[in-house]
Amino acid sequence: MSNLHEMFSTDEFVEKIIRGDKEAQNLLVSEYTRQIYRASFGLGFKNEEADELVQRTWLTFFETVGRFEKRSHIRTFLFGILYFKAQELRRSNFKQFKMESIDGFMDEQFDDKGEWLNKPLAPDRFMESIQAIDNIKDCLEDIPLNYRMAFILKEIEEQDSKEICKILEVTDTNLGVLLFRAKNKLRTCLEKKHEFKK
Amino acid sequence: MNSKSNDRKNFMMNCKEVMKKLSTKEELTFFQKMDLNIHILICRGCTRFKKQLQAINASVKDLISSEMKFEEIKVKKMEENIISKIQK
Repeated sequence: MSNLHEMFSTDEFVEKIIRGDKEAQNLLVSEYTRQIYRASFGLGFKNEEADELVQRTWLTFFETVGRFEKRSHIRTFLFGILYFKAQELRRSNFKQFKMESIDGFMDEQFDDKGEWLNKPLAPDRFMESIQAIDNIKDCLEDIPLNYRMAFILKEIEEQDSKEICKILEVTDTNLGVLLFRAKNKLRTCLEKKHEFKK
Repeated sequence: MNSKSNDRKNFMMNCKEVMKKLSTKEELTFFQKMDLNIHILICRGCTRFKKQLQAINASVKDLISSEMKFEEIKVKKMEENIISKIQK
């Protein structure tokens, strides 16, 4: 797969795609559809909505690839479109969060020496919470789209941070904040679920 | 491990910094990585935190793969659908 990924970044291949070369198109679609699908699930879209999102993404991609400036990998361009389309589909629910710094959020969890005020839950208890699949689903639902996109691209799709910054159009510092907030929202949500059980 | 504060004062990182670095996945120098790992080794809170992050990743991955397995046939159909739309 990585060979294909590299080939896709060559100018020749990109030219073929822009010209509408069918073989190139087939290759691209068969290589990346699964990834876009998976990312759509990761973003919380299901069934027809996920299908819709994947379709819209590809169609928009082929409509606009003529404008692709080759300054990044073609997959980055594709995922940028996915993100844009996902926001469109979620327009009503899209929560905008200010790009606050991390520090305020952290102060409540740590003492003056910078040590944990309340230690994270013991592994076995945390695992109970996380294994209840509804818990993880519910907690994911509460994560705003931009945090969620950062999280799945980095942790699930394991894409390079530089590429993710281009997809989300953020600086690397901002990406760090997005990842931080996503993970800690998930973590505290799952810990709370455990408390409710008691 | 015994009382933490005396040992910990010698290390550059405290829990707050560890938590931040683990969460943001920022790039670290060799020495920063070493500090981070040593701290986690001796700190129960941070060990738990790191394990929690790993558990979250694994869990979300599982959730998504099980959803994907269910839709495997759809992927092929979707691909054909897209190709026919753009190549008509």
